[in-house]
Amino acid sequence: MKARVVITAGGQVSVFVDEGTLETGREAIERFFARLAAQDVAVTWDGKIEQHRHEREAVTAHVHAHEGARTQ
Amino acid sequence: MPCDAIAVAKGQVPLDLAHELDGLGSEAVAQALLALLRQRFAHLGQPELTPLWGAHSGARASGIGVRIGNVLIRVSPNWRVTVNTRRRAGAGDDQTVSLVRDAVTGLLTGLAGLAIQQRVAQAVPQAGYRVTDQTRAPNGALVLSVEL
Repeated sequence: MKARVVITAGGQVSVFVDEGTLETGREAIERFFARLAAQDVAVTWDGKIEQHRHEREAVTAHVHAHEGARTQ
Repeated sequence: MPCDAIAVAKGQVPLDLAHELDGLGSEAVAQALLALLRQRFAHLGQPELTPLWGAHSGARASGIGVRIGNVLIRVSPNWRVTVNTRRRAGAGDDQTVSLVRDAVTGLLTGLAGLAIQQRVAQAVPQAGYRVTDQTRAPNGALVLSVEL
């Protein structure tokens, strides 16, 4: 599953999972931090998972045509 | 960074400046310090490494010593920075000392930040993950594309 790992100079490590579901993303993130810890990189994480993907709202375009109106 | 992710987690690696700088080693830090001084304070003269001596004991002290113009920079083994004038301070030396101290402190903090980024980035493939891309964001963050 595709993900982005963002590491700041202040030591913040953020993981953005771009595929799958929230639940599979959570599992992958937990596994990721556990494996990093096994490499002696301990990431303190409060266990919170955010979801940043939202269903797109339908966008409706209304075109009002007026007889005689001109567009420059 | 535009975010359209399904799952997002934010963690923190404890930032231990001394630990990160220890990992880089004093030689690398000394070279970075010389490069910074050549770039930012060329008007003061050529920076040179200089041995350090204990103020009270008179014995050779460990750490990094650099002199540039009338300024002496000491970086202790635990990465404490001290900057002062080598001889009697002249006009403007107070400000110069302050500018050099801020620049050196900023350099050490920046080096520690780069070191922590590299340490985490190296741990990712070592943990068994495939890194398909590595870029740097405008804010300096290291961004890895990873197959989790």
